[in-house]
Amino acid sequence: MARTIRLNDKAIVLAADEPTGQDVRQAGQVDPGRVLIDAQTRRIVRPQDRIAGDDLYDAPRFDKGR
Amino acid sequence: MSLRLGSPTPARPSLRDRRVDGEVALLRRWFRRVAYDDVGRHWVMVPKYDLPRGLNRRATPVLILIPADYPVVPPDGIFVDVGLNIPGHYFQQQGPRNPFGDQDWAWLCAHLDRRGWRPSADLVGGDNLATILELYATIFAAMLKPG
Repeated sequence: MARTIRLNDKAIVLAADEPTGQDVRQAGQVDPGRVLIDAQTRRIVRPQDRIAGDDLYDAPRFDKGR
Repeated sequence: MSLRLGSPTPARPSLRDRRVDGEVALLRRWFRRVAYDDVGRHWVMVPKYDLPRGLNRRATPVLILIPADYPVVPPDGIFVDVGLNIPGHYFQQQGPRNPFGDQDWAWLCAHLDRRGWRPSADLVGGDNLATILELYATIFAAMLKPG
């Protein structure tokens, strides 16, 4: 059963029953230099994570210093 | 033909100046107070930035230094209150990494990936100072984890 989520305020239909971050990245053509973030929890959605919230956005990757 | 004498005509704002002015206006939609350097556009300051759960304070002021090449180059880290319970990548003492340590600012060392930094000409369609501050809710949470 397809699931519709929103990525950067645009609707995306995902074919997988239990879509993951990778499914969203592919469907939304998310740049490798950016991370997916759950808009409600503000947590990073990794490629292997199942999608919990229906509202996601992407942002630049970051590292915690050198 | 007449000559106008008197005080020199103010310099026309550069593209960067107009960009920063526009981004401050955008920030003022989200934050009650925003201060900034309206001459050199070297910094933007939000006096009250709400912190996510897990931190020992509810809010901190945030100071963002605007790079000379902004928005091509994103800001590098932000300055926040000293005394936060952040275990690492947080420099409270004055030094090369924190030139404002004597003014009770601490530097939060988080680097945005320039390959993923995507500003756009229309301000709101891409990355900007507001999206950076939104991202910092995630970064603060990541900072609480060791490593």
